[in-house]
Amino acid sequence: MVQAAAKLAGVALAGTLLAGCAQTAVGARTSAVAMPEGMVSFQNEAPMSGAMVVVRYPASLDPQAEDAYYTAFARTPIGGSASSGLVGSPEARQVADGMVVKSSYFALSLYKELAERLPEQTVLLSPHQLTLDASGKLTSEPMTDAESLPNVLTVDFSTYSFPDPEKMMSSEPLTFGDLITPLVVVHADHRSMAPTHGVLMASSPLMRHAGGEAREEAAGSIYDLQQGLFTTQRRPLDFVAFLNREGDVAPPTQGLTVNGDINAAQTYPLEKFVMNRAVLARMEQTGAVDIDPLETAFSAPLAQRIVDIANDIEPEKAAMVQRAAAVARFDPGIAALSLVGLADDDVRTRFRYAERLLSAERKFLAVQSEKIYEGIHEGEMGQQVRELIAAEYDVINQRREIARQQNAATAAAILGAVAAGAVAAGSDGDVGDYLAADLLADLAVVAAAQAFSLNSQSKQVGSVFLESVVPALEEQIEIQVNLIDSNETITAIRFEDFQEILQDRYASSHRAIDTVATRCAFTGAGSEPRGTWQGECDGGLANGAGVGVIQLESGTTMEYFGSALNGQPSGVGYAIYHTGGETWSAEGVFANGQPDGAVRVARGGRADEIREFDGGRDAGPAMPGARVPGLFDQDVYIAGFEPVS
Amino acid sequence: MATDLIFGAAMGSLISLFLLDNPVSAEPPRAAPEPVVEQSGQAAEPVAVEPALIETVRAETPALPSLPEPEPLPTLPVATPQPEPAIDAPPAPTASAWASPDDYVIPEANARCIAMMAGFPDDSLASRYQFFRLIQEMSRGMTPEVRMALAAYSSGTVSIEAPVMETIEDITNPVLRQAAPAVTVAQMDHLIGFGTDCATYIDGQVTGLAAADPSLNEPAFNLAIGQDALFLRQILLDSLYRLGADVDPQHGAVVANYQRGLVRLRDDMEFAAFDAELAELEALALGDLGDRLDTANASINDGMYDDSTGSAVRLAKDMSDAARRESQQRMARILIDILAGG
Repeated sequence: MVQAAAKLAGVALAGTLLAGCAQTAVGARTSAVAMPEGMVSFQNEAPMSGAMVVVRYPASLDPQAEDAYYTAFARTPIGGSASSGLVGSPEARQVADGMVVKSSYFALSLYKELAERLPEQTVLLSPHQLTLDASGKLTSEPMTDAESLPNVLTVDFSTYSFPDPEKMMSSEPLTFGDLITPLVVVHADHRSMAPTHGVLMASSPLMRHAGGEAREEAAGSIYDLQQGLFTTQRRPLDFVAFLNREGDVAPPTQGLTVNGDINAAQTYPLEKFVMNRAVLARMEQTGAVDIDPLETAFSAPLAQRIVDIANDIEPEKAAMVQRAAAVARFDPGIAALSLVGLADDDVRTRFRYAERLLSAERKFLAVQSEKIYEGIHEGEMGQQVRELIAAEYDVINQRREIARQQNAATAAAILGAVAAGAVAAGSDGDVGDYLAADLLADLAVVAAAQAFSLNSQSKQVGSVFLESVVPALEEQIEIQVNLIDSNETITAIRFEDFQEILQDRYASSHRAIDTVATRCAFTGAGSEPRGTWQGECDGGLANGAGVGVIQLESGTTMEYFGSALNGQPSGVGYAIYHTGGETWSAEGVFANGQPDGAVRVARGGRADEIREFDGGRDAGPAMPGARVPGLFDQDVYIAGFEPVS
Repeated sequence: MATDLIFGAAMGSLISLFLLDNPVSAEPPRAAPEPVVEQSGQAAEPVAVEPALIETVRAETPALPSLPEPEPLPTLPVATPQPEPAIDAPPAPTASAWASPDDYVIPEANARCIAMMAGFPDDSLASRYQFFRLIQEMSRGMTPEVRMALAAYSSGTVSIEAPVMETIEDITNPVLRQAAPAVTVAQMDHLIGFGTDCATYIDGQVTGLAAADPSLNEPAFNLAIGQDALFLRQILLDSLYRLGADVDPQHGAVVANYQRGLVRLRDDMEFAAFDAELAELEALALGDLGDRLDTANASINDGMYDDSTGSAVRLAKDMSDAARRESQQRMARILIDILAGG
């Protein structure tokens, strides 16, 4: 009896240690990004001179940045808490390496889907290298010139796995086998949605970091305008800001939405979902390059959602400053004038040439993206990643099977223990009863031991696999870096020649114009020439079309795009006010530096409103029939008003 | 197809030369007032020009290079419109008949169209296409108001049977258009009237010829034709200015509008040339880039193949199998211990 009781105690301990059922690494069947409406076609106008979407992703790891990256990755887990022992552990490094490889591969899937849905050659790939900045801090840098051109939307994409592989079968985020956890940020220049500084959608863990980075980027751009420069601010990947725990600013947010008219960033919840298993099985069997297990589960729905966002955005606002920066490279005289309505026929004519030149550059870089896609996806790296995913799928299925056996064994152990206990409790000293209880207890111990063994087997299968694929991961990164570097080197050399030829043709083709942009003073609503104006000037003051920035006496920073008179905003314009706690915009007619009349106002968390302004004072909602002239001929009317052409 | 195909290599180069020398300007050069033009602000009376003057000018103008030997025309796959059989061949109408904006639907239009088309070059598909496209381009956007202005400043008559090439040669003749701008206006009006009233026939011809020889659709070739049409439009504007049409209270606004349209047209044309040039550059550069990147990709991918993932997976499987065997042996030992009463 004593022996049976001891065995029962052991079984109970086993049950406690096993902590109930083993988890089987499950994921959602469909991604949250899937839209109920299904297909959405692109209905906006892609800018001729730039890209519609640039897809950025981590593709390479600078050896000097390895320690910083591995440490940051282990220290900032998403979706759970990691043990301190993970920092510097080989397991966390394997997961971190795997993230680079998977991000690179699956970013191509998103690229393919976007390219199918958006105008030809308007989607570019921008692989990033994780590296260290001058101060030794982790950052990321683009490996190609894709971000040198204006673009409307930027998509940061990466996959994610919790840094502790011990938790692989648990609920923590995972990208392994048929499971994937994507991290996404969709953003644009802050002029496209001032209240969020251009953050349009972000995975929940990255939202505050994206918000902070976007605000930093806006501040940098305004500073440059103040210096009389048009520059394109390019921040590192928002995932890097997350790893650095930087840029903690929450923009106004909302849930995932369709045809959204609220000035708020969409929050994409952290999710782990299952890729199409039939497609995975087919990929494993055939090895065909055109089989994409991520397509139906995620890439296509995300591409649809990005198209929906692209339909809602005003491309001109999103690309105008970047475009001015690009034009300034070869024709500074019209850079500032290209920002606004281009009322002058001569400027418009000349700008058409500049746009055409930029479109040629964009096509050139689009070819590079296509070849990076082909070289990687259809090449050795793509093949190896597909093999890796297939092998991972086998491993995770094996572990799922072991988990099921483990659960059965655990159940047997518990049931055996309970039965043995019951027999022992009900026995009246009969030898038969004693033997029966002892046998049940023995069987329960065997089941518990089996559960232990299976648990350890499962972990071993996972860790052995991760350990053994390290060289393959490193090789895949190396292949990719070689391909991107080689593509970039060839493209850059040819691009330089191409740009030179284009600029020669431009110089010999464009006509002289009477009005060129210069730099002068901008006074905002006041009279002190404290601000900077780039555009048409007269008497040292803003007079005509252009862009101005100024810090108002209240401390608010004002950006203004449009028409000015005697240093002040006057006529049709678009102003963005950056106060301490809020950024908002006003578009319409300005007089004496202030919004005046019916003005379209964008504030965080609300839809755009048409409000009546009287010398800068908000007098309430505009009357029906009010017309707001837009900066880019996109006049807005209050419902019920029939515009007369 | 190169620009020198135009006018059988003759007229094209001539027009191109003028294009270089006389770009379209916002303010067309005004010649000294001609005695035949009234400057009272009223529409000028049609100027009577002696046919002898035209002959004299033609004789004094250097001859154009001779046309290449005509080639036999293949049968076009698209049937050209046929005149209605019931209509007798009409007498040759005058330019003024074409110039009547109030009388757009002309009963004898079909016959006139056919008669005029007979005066088009037929030495090659290209030259025929070129002339029809030229008329198309010249007539584009000609409003009834412009036609009225042209009618008011036209002088002389152009026979409907006059070969179209000869008419264009006269228009481009610098001496003739200086000496008799009203005749130039009449000749332009003659061609524009044909282009407007016979648009269906001309469209049919252009479509048919382009179907017979797809190379005729080449943008550079069509751009050159557009440039020639622009040059002829500029000549018309210059002639109207010389005749004082720009200060005419009745037609001045129309002429000013026509002038603005011409500037836009020139801008579009110049941009189209730039665009075509860049398209060529793009095609070359992008093709070259694509080839180079393909080669680089292939080279890197070939050099990298070593089945590292396969090896890693096999290693992982071997290690897992070993672990499983060990686990099973451990299980067996536990079972033996238990059954042995341990």
